[in-house]
Amino acid sequence: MHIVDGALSVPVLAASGASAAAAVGIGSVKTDYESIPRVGVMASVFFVASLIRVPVGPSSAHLLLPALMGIVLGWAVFPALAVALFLQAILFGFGGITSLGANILVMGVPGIACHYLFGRSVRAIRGQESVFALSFTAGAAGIIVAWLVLGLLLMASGRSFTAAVVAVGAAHIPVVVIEGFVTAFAVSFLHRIRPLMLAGPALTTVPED
Amino acid sequence: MAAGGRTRVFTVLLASVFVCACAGAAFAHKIHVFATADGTEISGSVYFSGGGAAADLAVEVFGPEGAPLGRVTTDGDGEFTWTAGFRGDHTFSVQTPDGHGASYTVSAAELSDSLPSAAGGRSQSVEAAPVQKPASAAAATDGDLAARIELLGKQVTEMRKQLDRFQERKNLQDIVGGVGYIIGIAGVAFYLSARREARGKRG
Repeated sequence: MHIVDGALSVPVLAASGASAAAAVGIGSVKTDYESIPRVGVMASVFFVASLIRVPVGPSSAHLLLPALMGIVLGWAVFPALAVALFLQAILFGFGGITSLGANILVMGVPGIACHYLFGRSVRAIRGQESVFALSFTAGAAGIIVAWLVLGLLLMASGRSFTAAVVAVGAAHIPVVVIEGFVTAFAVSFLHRIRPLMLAGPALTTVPED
Repeated sequence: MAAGGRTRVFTVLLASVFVCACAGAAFAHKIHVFATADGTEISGSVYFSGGGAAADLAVEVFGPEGAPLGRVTTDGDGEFTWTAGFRGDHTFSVQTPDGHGASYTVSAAELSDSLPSAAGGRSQSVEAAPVQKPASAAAATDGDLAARIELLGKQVTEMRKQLDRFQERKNLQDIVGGVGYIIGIAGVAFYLSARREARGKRG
């Protein structure tokens, strides 16, 4: 789901770059001392996870984990993505430098949406099955939102929204299910052994002692 | 106790990162174009990372100055052919609807001398270079030679594809290097944040 250099028009690149920069700024301000290791670990997980290929027909898709990142990091999902996507662009030619902002939005917007929609309830509920079901929904919804943001960016650049949605969708329907399971297992695991990992950065300022 | 729990979580997460890294990482849905010229015929193929053919995809053809020449559609095996009308650079460009794209240029030098040159004067000098060497070759070996050249061309095409695939393969060093960078950046963020906190306490 990474957008390459040259796929988007200049105004779209500028607008997405500016909004991504603002989001990264907000995320960095909201990241406190305590949550830096968490942001680093999630950035590494994303960096590696999106290199794992899921073959779909002649093409393939990969994991994105926006929901997991959003639930664990909250607004810090943006600085984490900025670092990981920049490294993917320079080391692997994945995405591109000019489209960095657009890619941050494609994966960050579903992340922050999952943080607001599912984060609080995942932290609040107790039963293992409910946590699993809710985080499965979050994982699946995260990919669908990413898919829509990508479609909108391509449409704003004068491409056909339906063509983009159909092309991306064909490759990502299995990913929606796989993401759901990966997110569900990861979130249930964290919920069981270290619930504090699931607290958004803004909430960790509550002193532990 | 709490510190022990935290260490365990990080160990598990780091371990999963490395398991993922070893699970054979590769590039997703990136697309490639490759083409070679034989006389006036340019044949090429479009394929995804990992070698899957990109069938029924439109290939835009551009001339030396980026002027559009037309378009062809790939067949079921992701292959296409284009007959060159002049001797000049031909650029073949593809774009998938989901925002991926690639292009490849067949240079003027690969095309047959018999074609009229492109508007620019550059290819004129190229045309002047080949002297009538083939005339001295014995006529009997001509067919044999042509077959060998064709075979060589196919081998070069195959090697080029292999090279593309090789470049696509992510090696573990790059992945570990990337994770290392992230740890380094987190360290710098830690330092800056700690300094800010210390200054806040003093003030």
